Formats: sequence, C-alpha cells, structure tokens
Amino acid sequence: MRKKTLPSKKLVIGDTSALVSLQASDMLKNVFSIVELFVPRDVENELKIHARLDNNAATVLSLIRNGNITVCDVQDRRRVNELVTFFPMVDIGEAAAVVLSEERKIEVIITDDFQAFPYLKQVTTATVHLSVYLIAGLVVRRRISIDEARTAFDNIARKRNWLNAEIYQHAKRYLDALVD
Amino acid sequence: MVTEVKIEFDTEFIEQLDKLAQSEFKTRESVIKSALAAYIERYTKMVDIKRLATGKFLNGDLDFDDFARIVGYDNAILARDIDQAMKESIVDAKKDFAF
Repeated sequence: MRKKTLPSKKLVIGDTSALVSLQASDMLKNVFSIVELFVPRDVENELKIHARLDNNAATVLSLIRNGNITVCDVQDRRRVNELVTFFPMVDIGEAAAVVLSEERKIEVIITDDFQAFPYLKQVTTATVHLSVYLIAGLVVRRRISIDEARTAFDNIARKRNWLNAEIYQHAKRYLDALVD
Repeated sequence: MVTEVKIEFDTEFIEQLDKLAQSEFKTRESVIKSALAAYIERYTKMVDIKRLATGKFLNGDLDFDDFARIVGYDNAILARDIDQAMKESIVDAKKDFAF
C-alpha cells in the first residue's frame, strides 16, 4: 500500500499589514502549520517602528526572532525604489515583498493594505492575496473551524476603520463556500 | 474622572471664541466643550450611516452610484474591489490548500 504523503508547505511572503492582521486575529501561529512565511528586511524594519505602539507588531517581531518567520535581504534595491517612486500607494515593505517574490520565485504575496492591493496586483506576476487567504487555508486544512475563522474576521474588523470593518463582516459569508 | 488638556489657539480665534461666548452668556471652556461634543456626535452619526450603506451595498440592496454618493467615490471603489478580492482569496484557498 502506498503511503499517503503530507501536503508540502506553500511558500508565502507577507507584508506588515498582513502579519499584524493575522496576529490580531490570533491566527498567525496556526498559519505556520500550513505555510512557510518569509518577509523582506524592510518589513522587519517597519514592524520595529509599529512595535513601539502596537502589541501585535511586537509579537510578530518576537516570532521573527524565534525563527518562525524567515527574514530575507532583497538584492535589487533599485527596483524597490522604482516601485515606491512610481506607485505612491505602495510602501517600501510592499515593494520589497514584490522584488523578493521575483528573486526567490515565491508565488504568493499576502497584504491587508487595501489601498496598495490593486497596485501590487499590477506590478507583480505573483498572486496577491489578502490575509483571509491563510485563515481560509486553515479551515481547508482542518486546523480551525469555520466559527473560529469567523471570530478571526471579527477580531481583525475591530482593529480596522468603519469601511474595512464592514468589508470583513460581509466577507464572513464567503467562508460558507469552504464547506460545499 | 477628568483629564486636563492643554491646547493652543491663534489669538484671532480666541477673540472670536470670546465674542461668541459673551453673546451666549457662556464661558470659553463651555463653548469649546459643546462644539467638540457636537462634532463627535455628528461624526459618529455619519459613520453609522456610512456603515449601514456599505452593508446594504455589499448585500446588493443599494446600487453603486447611490452608495458612492453616501460614502464617496474612492471608498465605494475600495469596498467593491476589496470585497471581490476577499471572495477570490477564500475561493483560491479552497483550491490551493485542498488535501
């Protein structure tokens, strides 16, 4: 009889917004069981700034220090600077995530920066997803229940402005597609 | 509990404020307090209306043009596009993380 092999872990690059959202939803540690998470050094630097005021950012930094998330240096700094210059909605961490995905051939980038999202999709051949992709992935891999995913959405919504919060509330119904 | 806040205003602004306070037989402090309270109340009401409109739009009960008039065009575009992106991320997760 052939042995059933465990599915391999997908490689994913996260930006600051996605990692902080996942930590706010209390799902970041669970995510390590289904994906290998990478961040460019620029995202680590952004997290250090946010950590002064935000406990979630501080926790993400401690997970980086513990080796749960891999920090990579981006080689092509010129391209990072070009992206930031031509696309003002894209910050340096997001631009570095795009370049890192090209240099390391990592096919998925996650961001929760709703303003930058459409521009990131324009400038990369990688697939750009919102962090709900990983929360839904946890449901698919049966690491969490749909109710826990809904609670995670609520937790993220509480941290966002009125418009984004309403979008998360509405998106909870899309989770039902996972049980078809 | 009371927290003291120190704010600096232009002299010209203070002169206008004092004129208004005198005409209403109020103190400078009381005019500032009631102005801020009115601002917060109006802001909160507007957010409640915008939230309600966003929910109705995402549920298909309000068309895009009316929604944009209430929340502003940029917010309306963002709500429409990010809602779609949420759906795609969840649908793709089902495919990408299937056993």
